[in-house]
Amino acid sequence: MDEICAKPKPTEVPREEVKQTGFEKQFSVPVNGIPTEIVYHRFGRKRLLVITQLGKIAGTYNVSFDISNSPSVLKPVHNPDFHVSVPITINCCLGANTAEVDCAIQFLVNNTKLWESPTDFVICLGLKEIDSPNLHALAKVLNEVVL
Amino acid sequence: MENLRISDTAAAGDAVQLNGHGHNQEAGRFTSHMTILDNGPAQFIVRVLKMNGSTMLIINSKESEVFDELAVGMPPRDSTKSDALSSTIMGGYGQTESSVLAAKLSKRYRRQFFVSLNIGGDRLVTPLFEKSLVTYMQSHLDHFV
Repeated sequence: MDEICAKPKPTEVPREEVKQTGFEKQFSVPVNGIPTEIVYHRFGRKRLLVITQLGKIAGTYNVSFDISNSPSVLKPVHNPDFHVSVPITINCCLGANTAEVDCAIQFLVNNTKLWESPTDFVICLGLKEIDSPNLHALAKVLNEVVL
Repeated sequence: MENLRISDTAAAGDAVQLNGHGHNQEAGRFTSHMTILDNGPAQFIVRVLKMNGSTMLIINSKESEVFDELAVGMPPRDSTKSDALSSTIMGGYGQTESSVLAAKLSKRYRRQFFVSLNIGGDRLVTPLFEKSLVTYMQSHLDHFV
């Protein structure tokens, strides 16, 4: 009884030197050995995702979900015979407007939790090399740490 | 900077420990900062991302944070000229509040600025806000440039 009535002891939080950041997530992480800066923040109607290995914002792309009212319909199908991507529209606002970048963004949407809450997002993407190992590693980081 | 870990390190390439201290490229690190500027009855949230050679500023009123507009300002390449260029790259058309502020900041600090200004200011609010922003920037310059 005494234990219940007693003033709860403050839980001991391990003291780690964590700097206050200006965004929901902001950190640096090596992806496939390449230092990568990642920033993520949710604004009212849009999310911001900065992924760059170039030390700056190289390209800015506005991504909107074609079907936003029914997340269950958006679910990608990962099947080699019957692959279905999440329907999105990518608008290049700044930087390289190439099929390679579009494919990279589509891959990240299909293979991360980005599609689960279909709020439009702005992605600032600056990858040194766009290839399968890099994108798989990046998707893994986004899934486990960011989203 | 957050302390982060990932369960399957093999899947993240050789990202052994995602703790933000794993590599020694200190100079390349981004830094971010957030502050609330008091401007009379209105309060503004300023979010800053300092990159290598450029800075991103996202400014909203405290009531609602949006990311509707984005402009980029570039300093003049020729040091003898003082005019900075700016362009709206997302949301809005032509000269927007964001592009005007991006040009002013690029000219002042001779640095690339990405600006998202979403305060819906008018002729009274905007100059007061700019004054309080510049005053804050001058006193906390290491967060911005």
